[in-house]
Amino acid sequence: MSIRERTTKLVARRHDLNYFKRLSPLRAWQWWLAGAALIAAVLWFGGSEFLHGSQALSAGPMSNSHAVFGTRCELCHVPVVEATGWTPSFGMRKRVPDSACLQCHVAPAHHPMETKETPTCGSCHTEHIGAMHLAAVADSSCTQCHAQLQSHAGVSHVAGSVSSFATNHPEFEPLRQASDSDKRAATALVFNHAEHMKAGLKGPTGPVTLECVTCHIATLNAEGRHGRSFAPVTFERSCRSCHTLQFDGHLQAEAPHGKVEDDAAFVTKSLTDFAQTHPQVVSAEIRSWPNEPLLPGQVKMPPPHTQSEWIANRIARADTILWREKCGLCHKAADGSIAYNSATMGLPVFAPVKEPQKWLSSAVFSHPAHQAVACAECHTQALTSASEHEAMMPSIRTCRRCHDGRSSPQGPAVAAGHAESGCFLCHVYHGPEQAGLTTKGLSLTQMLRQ
Amino acid sequence: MSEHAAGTHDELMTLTVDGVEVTVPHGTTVFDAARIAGITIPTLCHQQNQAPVAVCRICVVDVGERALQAACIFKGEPGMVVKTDTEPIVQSRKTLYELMLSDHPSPCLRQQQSGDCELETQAAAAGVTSTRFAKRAVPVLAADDTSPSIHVDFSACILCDRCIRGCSEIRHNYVIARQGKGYFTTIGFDDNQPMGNSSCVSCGECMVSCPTGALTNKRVLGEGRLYPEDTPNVYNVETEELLALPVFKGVSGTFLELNTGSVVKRTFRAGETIVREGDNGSTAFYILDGEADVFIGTPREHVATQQAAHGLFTKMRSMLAPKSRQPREEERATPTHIRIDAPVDLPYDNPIAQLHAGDLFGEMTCMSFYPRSATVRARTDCVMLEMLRNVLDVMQKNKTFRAQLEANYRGRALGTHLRSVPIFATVSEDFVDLLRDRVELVRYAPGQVICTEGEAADAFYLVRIGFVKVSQRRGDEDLVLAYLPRGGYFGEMGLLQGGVRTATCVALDHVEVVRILAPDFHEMLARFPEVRAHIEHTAEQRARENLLHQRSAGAHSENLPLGQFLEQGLMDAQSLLVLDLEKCTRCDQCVKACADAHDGVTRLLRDGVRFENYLVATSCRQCRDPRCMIGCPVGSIRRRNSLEVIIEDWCVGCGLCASNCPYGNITVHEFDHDGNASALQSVQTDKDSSNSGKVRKATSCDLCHDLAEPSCVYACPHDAAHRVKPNEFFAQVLGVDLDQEAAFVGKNR
Amino acid sequence: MRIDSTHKPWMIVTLAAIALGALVYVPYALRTPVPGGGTGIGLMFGSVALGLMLFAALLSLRKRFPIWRIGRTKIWMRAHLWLGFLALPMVLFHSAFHARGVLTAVLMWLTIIVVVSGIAGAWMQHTLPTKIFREVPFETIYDQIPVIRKQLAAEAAVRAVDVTQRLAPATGPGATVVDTLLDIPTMEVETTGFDKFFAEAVTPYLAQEGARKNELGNREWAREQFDNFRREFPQPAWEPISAIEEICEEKRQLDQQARLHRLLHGWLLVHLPFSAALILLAVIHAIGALSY
Repeated sequence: MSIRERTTKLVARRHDLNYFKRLSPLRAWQWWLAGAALIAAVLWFGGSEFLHGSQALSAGPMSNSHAVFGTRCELCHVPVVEATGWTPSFGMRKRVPDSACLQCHVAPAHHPMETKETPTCGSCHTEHIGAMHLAAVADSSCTQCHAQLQSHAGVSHVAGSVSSFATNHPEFEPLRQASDSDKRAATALVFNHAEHMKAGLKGPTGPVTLECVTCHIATLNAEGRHGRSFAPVTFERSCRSCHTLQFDGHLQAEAPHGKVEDDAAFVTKSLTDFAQTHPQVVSAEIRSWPNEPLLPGQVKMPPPHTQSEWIANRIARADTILWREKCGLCHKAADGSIAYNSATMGLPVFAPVKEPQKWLSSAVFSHPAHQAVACAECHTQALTSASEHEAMMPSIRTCRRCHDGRSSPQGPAVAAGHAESGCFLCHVYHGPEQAGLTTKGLSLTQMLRQ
Repeated sequence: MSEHAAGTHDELMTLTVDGVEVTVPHGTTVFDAARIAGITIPTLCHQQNQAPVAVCRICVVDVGERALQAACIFKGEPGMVVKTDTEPIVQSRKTLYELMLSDHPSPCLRQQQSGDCELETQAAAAGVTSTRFAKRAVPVLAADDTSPSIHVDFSACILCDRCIRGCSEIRHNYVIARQGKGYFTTIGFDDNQPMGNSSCVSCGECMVSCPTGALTNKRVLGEGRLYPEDTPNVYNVETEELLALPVFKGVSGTFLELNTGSVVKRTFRAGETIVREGDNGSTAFYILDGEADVFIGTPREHVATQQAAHGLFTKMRSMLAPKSRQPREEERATPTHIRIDAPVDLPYDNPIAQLHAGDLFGEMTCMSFYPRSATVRARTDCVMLEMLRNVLDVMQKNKTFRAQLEANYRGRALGTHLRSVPIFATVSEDFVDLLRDRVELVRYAPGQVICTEGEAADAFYLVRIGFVKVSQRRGDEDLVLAYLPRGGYFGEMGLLQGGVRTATCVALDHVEVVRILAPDFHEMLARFPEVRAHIEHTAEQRARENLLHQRSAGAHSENLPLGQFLEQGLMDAQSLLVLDLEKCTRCDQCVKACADAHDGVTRLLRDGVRFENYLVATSCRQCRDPRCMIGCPVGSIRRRNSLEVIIEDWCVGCGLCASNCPYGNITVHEFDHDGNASALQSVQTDKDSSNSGKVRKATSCDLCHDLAEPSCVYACPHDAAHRVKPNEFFAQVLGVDLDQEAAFVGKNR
Repeated sequence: MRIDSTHKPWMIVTLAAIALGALVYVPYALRTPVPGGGTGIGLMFGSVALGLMLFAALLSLRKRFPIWRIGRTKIWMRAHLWLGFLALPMVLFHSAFHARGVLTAVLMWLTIIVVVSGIAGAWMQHTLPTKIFREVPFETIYDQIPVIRKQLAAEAAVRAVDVTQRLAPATGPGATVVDTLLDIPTMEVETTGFDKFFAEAVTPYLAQEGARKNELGNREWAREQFDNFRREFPQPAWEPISAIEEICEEKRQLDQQARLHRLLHGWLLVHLPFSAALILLAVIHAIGALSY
């Protein structure tokens, strides 16, 4: 191979036997760079500690609401042992205690009979995840108790095992009522949506087609944003324009929509006043009594000969019209039957009407959050319901079509095609009302690093 | 043609030379006959004491034959008529002179110095002063000045053959011969070596025989002195003075005259260092007067790898490292004496002894150019003779000197040497005294076989000086077991068991052995039964070892017939450190580990020649023929039973083993000497001591023999370093059938 | 090192560990609202990861004391390779695949860089030794290359003089017949040309590291040049000319060796510093995270 002589000895002789004791440039660089890296790391970390507090140690960005005091670790990470300073080391744990949260937040107890130990604030509300709402708690925080709910005393009125909305959340309370009488008792008002939703109804000035929003009007709250509920449907606002309460052909006046006694008094007074102010009409009618057909339920009375007979006659007819045909259209007796029977000749007793402001006892539903959806999509019975017994409350199945549990509130993002799901969306943990404002609070210098 | 009557040498015959009748015995040459007749025939190539060769043709004469005949070789016949001066003869001679002069650098050195160049004087006498022929066009070899006493000028050589015959016939040294062909022939020494490198003993015979200035005495030229003129304390010594000494009794005065520059007298003051251990040298010293200390000044610290009790350099950091003792027994206990190149040996514990008048030291250095084995310092004012090999050679042949030498040896060293043989270790003084007189000292020339494996054992040998190679046939080849230095011994086993030799012993250089013959030996044993018991015990051990070796020899087969394998000498190795180049990342961990384990001195180098995909690292190969062992002046490099080569702690750092190792696996390093207290401290305090805090020691890979695994293999992060047996390892790698190969090679040996 | 079948046990253990880790991680991640380093399982993974990193760092120490009998370095090396690699999945499991904080983000990047550079290094150690072995038959010790270069230059200088010497017959002891038979041609032109070539091309080439525009860096060109010289000069001068050619070839190969060696060891310039910073910051992270 080689022209020049190449033996082991000749090859070996060329070398200085101490070569390996000297650091070759490559190795020197390795150690220098390693040292430099260490120093850089120390400098960086030290500098960061010095300039930005312990922010480098932060496990992640703050949530939107807490970002303002995000530089002040010590506001929440209160030392377990007092006066331990800023240097972190073993034995000086700085876990966030509940007391730190309660400096600002009021968080009433969820239930006085909570059996498990009350979870810490941090166990449900995880900070340092970034721009997300702390209130958006994961389902597991709720299901840790509600998946297998144990009760101390008696039967709880809450379902015993709820592990998620999409799987075993019970049907809504209004729909859970079984009997007609319960349903009736729920509202006690007869209304035929199907009739009213037909196109071209006879209106006061011409044909009219009703929309959902014609009667169901969202309320505004004080700040001007849409409140959470709809205003109660009132007769005066929504019904009177078509369903007038005229009780006598002679009079224009309409009976007031109020108590039965008041209406009866009004009818009597109005007819009496008319008779007194229009004696000729009365006498004319007495001479030639128009043969008006008898209304069902009307009390057959002989033709009047006197003014007071005429008044009584007219009152009887007016009562029948009102109690049976007009008021009775919607208002029924407690058992659902017609409340006024002329045979009884007394004032009808209508079942009292209840319109609950809150249809759901322990959940909150926000119509503005769903304003993209047409009313009839969820209130499916609205266009077709002929019965007064049907509650317009959508079934939980309707909700589950969008809120199918496939999107976690902890992010990172709501998966496309699914609505955000989570117990927190409807249910409130801290007390029956929202958490209020604290009486304490921080100064601005405490909050900001200034 | 006259009839030539056959006759015996006793009979006489008569012939006529230039008209003069002369009667001479039958068989006398014409030249001799003429000489007897008083007629001188000129010759150039003929010398009286040498067999005639008739190459110069100057002596041609007319004997009545068709052609002129060379008188020096042509035998006379009865009645022959010889004419020595006829015109054709004269013309022929003249032409010959002319031809020779055309090549001759006239005036040659001899002619210049002493005016007696035979060619030139004869030519001048014959009237030949110039030559018609062109001067030599082709340059001849340059002059050879390497010999200490003789200067060689090839251009003056006329190839008369006298030097060759002088060296062979007269001196029987057989150093000179012709080399080359035709016109380009010259004389050559050994295998065409420079004269100084050859086996020439500077006897001067060739020089004396040479007719021209081809071979001249350097002294005549003013050269060839041991020391320059006027060196202080160096005195020329006259031949008469030398001859007056008892040890020179019988030595040829002429020889001494010729070689005057080769021996000088030197004086030393008390305390002066004469020679230093480890230095190179070429002279021997004979003490005429005074006393000298001989000692080993190198601190006896072990370049060792075990945490031994002694030594600074022990470096197995063993904090976390459990050392496992290998089942290798030390077959040789620490010797009691260190053998050196002097009439005495130095005790191991306190290596210092005395030399006095009549002692000769430096023999091995002088004869075989080994480095000095010890430091000699004058204790009192001394007078010594310092001589070169040519003079020592002659002295050693001198009977008086030999007798003195032997007496010295018997008296002072033989006892310790005998004691060093384990079987004689515990014998009584009487035994030693008895043996002392029964031994004989025998000399062997380089290459001579002392005993052969398999022949009947008849003597026990102890090496007095020189190196003996002991080898055994293992399987199909020879394994050198040892190179025995002075004090080594061999043959006792064969002797005891009354059987055959178990190894072949060959003299490597000029060897002298102490021989104890079998009958004497056995007689001894009869009188000292405890020795016999000891011997038998050792014999058993040896027998076991031999069996083991035979078994293992049978299992392995060497000699893979691969060009490169052989070329690199890999088959000579018993253990190789190979680095798998396909795994090695060249990270130097192996080297660092080795250095860590050996006090910062690495025993391996990551460079060498490749074999297959392996780098055969430069690290001791535990050769079968450990050439490193040859010549160690203090015998500190040896082979253990497990066949590793180790260097003992009295190494003097001369570096001979390093230059002998053909692979460069041994290196000499300087170590710091921290002044470990030793008995030599007082002796060493000397301004010209070279111990300026540094000590030189030879180092080589010792296989980390105290640990379970060599450190380099252990520390390699990439599984690339391996210590392997090459025959096994590469056989597997190369897929060779070992048995087949062995048979093949065995047949074709 | 070559990653060969001896690594199999390590690979199996590592894969098993990853599988086991995944087995623990997946249910935990699904169940826990916010899986992360601070949870119990997260801490477990974190401790494992830190432990693996510290062990990996110990390799440097192991190599500083190569003769301590605390396990063969090759076993340590393999452990470093595989267990170091294992640190990455452990870190991912520990962090639940996110790194939102500043320090944690830096650590995640450092881990990735260190492990990826380590894999790159392992790959190089797997392939480059063979490359060096094949391409550099004249391989020597890297640190000694400058020394060898000087020796080559000196040798070449002697050989160059030898070229002209060979034109004259040898004299002196040991000369052979053939030597004395030679003619003495005077080759002035050729010798001058050769000397010029030697001074202008060969000497600077041998003196410098790398080829750097010297045409001798090109093997073909060099062969051509030397072939020309061999054509010009008579046979006795061929040996030194070829020797010089071989010297240039050796130098060329040593350049190649230097290049490959730097590659083979250069990746450590990334791996070492980053892992030093990683260890330091990881310890700071561990202490800080456990405190807060």
